[in-house]
Amino acid sequence: MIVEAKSISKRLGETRAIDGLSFVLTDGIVGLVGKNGAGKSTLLRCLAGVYQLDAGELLCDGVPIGLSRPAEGTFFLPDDPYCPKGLSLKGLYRFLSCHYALDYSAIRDMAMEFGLPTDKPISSFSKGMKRQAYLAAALSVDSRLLLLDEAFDGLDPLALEKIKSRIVERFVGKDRLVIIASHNIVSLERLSDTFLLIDKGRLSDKGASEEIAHGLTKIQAVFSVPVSESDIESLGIDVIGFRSQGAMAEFLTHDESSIDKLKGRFAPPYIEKVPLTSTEIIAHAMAEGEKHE
Amino acid sequence: MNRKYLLFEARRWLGFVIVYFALLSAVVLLFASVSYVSVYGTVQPSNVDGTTINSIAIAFSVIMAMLTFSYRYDRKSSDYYLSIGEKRDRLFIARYLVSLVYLIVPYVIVSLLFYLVLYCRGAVLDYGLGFLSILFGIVIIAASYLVSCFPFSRGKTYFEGFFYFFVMMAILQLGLLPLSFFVGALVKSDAFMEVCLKAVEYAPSLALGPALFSELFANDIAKAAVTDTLLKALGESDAFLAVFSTYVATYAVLPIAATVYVYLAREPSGEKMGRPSKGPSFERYSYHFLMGTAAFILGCFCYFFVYLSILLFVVYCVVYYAVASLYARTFKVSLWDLYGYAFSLVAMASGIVLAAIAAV
Repeated sequence: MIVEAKSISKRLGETRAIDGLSFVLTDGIVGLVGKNGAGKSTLLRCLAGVYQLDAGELLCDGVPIGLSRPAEGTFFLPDDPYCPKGLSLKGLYRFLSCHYALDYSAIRDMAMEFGLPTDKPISSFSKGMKRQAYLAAALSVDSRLLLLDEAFDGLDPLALEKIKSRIVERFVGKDRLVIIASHNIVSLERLSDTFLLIDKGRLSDKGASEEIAHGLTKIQAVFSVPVSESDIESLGIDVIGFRSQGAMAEFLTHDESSIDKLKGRFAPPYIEKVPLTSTEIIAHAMAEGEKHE
Repeated sequence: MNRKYLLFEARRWLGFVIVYFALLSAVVLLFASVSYVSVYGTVQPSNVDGTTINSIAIAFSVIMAMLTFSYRYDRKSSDYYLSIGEKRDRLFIARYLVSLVYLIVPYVIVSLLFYLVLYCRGAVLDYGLGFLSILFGIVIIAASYLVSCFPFSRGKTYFEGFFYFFVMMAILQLGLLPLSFFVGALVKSDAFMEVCLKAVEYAPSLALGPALFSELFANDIAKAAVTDTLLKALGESDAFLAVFSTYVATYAVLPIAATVYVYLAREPSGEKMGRPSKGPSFERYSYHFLMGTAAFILGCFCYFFVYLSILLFVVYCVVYYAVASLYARTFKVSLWDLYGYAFSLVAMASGIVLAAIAAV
């Protein structure tokens, strides 16, 4: 599955929600990240066929997506999903099955796994339970393009991990694409293989987290004496997000020779490059974007 | 359109339809039982039943229009329905038709039930006039539903704009055809009046025409006065041509109105489809223009049924106020709304006058 955006733009009132965005996404799990108001939800609504573009073109497997013409096999789960009043999980299944091909066993299994009652009205569920119910429904739809908008808000860590593994199980390596919009990058950790960073409706960066890192490394060190941020900067090392506790320090940098420089100056008993989390990489990329503004 | 979805929609409004059907049946049976034997020796239903039943049907058609298109006023439901992969036009048609069937079928059933009650009570029924009566009823419900759907659906696509236009054309055609038939076939205006009198006598006063005439001809003085007036209006002119010229007047104005409406209310972006918002001025303007157009159509329509126009106008005002409140999310009436009311009043009066001029 290939979703392609060609210089797409969308205005909402006076705001340019999407401004000349272009990208190509192939199957897998894509994390759509950006600050609040960056245009994530608007982009998902354009992909779902809710909004029509003002300019540009959206293609799904080469077929244009537009108003009255959503991509075939698309399911959109908005941040605040719709459910007719009084419907239970079973009722929601029946309702969705009017429009989508659904796998009832999947929704039933997930309901059992999460301990969700299938006969009680969804409106009586707690926030987290509602979210689990909607996600169970979304994951039981036989969709090729799944669009999730802030779908993990309110989930407890255990449920989050279960949902993540369900998504991987159902979508990875099956010519399907999941786009998950979230401002909470931690929830996308160990899930998204590609990230799409948008800011003020423009593409800020795209790729795997390693690609977005742009040579960013994380250094952990234990010094003989406490070392400050300025001490390290005095060696010509760019220091990002410096944290220290006693003689232990941790920071991010783009300087590839930073370990050698620190060893030469402070001879720390322990110094090592440690892997960056997606959260750190993306938070840094977003902070960089803000600096450029 | 997906059959499963249609069935689901049908099930959703079942409660509403049961209430509608029950209320209609109760009123019909009540009035059927208080009918009297007229001076012509036939069973005559109560004078007020037609208006009451029509009022119920009109009120329910307004509510139905609100319910049918309420999803467009809620972000959650519009997100859902606009992303289901069904073409919007099909979605619109499906909901429109399901609701219309729900309004018309109970009405027809209750009308037949009413005939049955009258028949059992010894009334001499004219089946042709009975058919005419039900047809008028369907026309008034369909017209009222369509006029209500205009504002509530916030039709902003070209498809919806032209759909409204053509359906209104069809409804007017359907409603006026029987009149044309009588006027055209009988040629003589006094014969036309005779037919009207017969319709009043035999039809169960369920629908538009008979309801009006049953009130008009409740007593001989009123009958004579109205007969004279109508004979003067129709007697010296070619009656068929008069009705036909009203068509022409309506057909000349509606395409222009529809084109301007679609141009002003078009929604190339689609984002306001499901969003209640104050919106830019052109949107508000087009909304009042839309209501004005509806008023004009009502005016044209009411020319033939002058008495009923009072009821229709009251319903129209209530709908207008409900729409304006829903739109602005306040029950306060703004100065802009007052301009809108005035504009609509003028439009409705213009419709009546234009139809009258065209007829004479």
